[in-house]
Amino acid sequence: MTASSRWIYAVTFLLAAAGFLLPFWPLTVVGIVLCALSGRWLFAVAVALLFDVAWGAPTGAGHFLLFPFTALALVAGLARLIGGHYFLDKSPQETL
Amino acid sequence: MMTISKRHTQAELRARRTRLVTVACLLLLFVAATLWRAPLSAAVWHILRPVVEARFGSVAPLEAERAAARAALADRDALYEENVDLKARLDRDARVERVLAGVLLRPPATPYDTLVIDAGSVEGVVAGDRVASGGTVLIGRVSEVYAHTSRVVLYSAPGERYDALLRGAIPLIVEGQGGGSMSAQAPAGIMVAVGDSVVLPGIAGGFVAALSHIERTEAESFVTLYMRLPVNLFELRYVEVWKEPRHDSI
Repeated sequence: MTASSRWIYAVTFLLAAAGFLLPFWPLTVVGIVLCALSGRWLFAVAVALLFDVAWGAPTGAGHFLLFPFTALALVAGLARLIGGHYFLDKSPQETL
Repeated sequence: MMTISKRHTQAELRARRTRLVTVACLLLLFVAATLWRAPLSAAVWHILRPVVEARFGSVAPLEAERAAARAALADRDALYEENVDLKARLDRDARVERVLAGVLLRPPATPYDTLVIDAGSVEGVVAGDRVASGGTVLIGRVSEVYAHTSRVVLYSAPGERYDALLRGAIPLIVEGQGGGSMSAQAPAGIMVAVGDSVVLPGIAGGFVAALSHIERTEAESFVTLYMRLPVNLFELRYVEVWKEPRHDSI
């Protein structure tokens, strides 16, 4: 794990936890989306699943979503995958 | 060159294997969360409850507030008992057993119009029990029950629909709009004014809201009634869970 990965994991988890403790749930959304958009979508999905289990399913029309934060993390991860294919650096310098 | 290539391939395989195992674990967790959501939620809240109490204050300091609230409600209780006694004389038992509970999380800590309270199955709470903020002001119903905590869906939660009575007589279907607000439609010809009360039907009843705004449109056969929960959700500290009425013989 690189140092930048550790920072991203730590910052996004802290953002999500701060959203729970402040309390201000949009901060949790920001943390999950940032984590997924930075490419660490597995961690984002795990954190989102935890919050979905804690907060329960949404009420009203969103009830069919069951796990809205997890769905958001997956959508953000997909956006990163598709967006990265078109917009991110196509000439990585890691390979020799 | 071949050694470097072999090490590179082995590292890639290891990374791929780790990723596959992680995805498999997440999938298992997702399936478990779907099939056993309630037990998992209970376990999560069992771990989170000390954290929430440390952050928002534990139950013990609330006891003093509860005692003060009980004293303040004493005269209301006297009138309520008289009401129940009158109904009992007409052979209807309207007594409601209540469980006092502290609010652990309230909006905006929770993203939906829900509360998390510190009473659960051990304290006798059952899913479907109505929840009041004090006196006869009903604010929601219990949707999920864990060992020592429960989740309450407020009547103002988006998508919530329930039957109510305007001024105790005119039937309405009230819909939650979120943020403590609700709306309903009523025939254009009825006499209605801001401040009219909306109550739940039933022998035990319960006040839900007062009309805050009436929207009339010419040539429309319905008027839209807007109402709000009469409590400040963002400062709610304790609630009462109403058990189902007892059916003791008089």
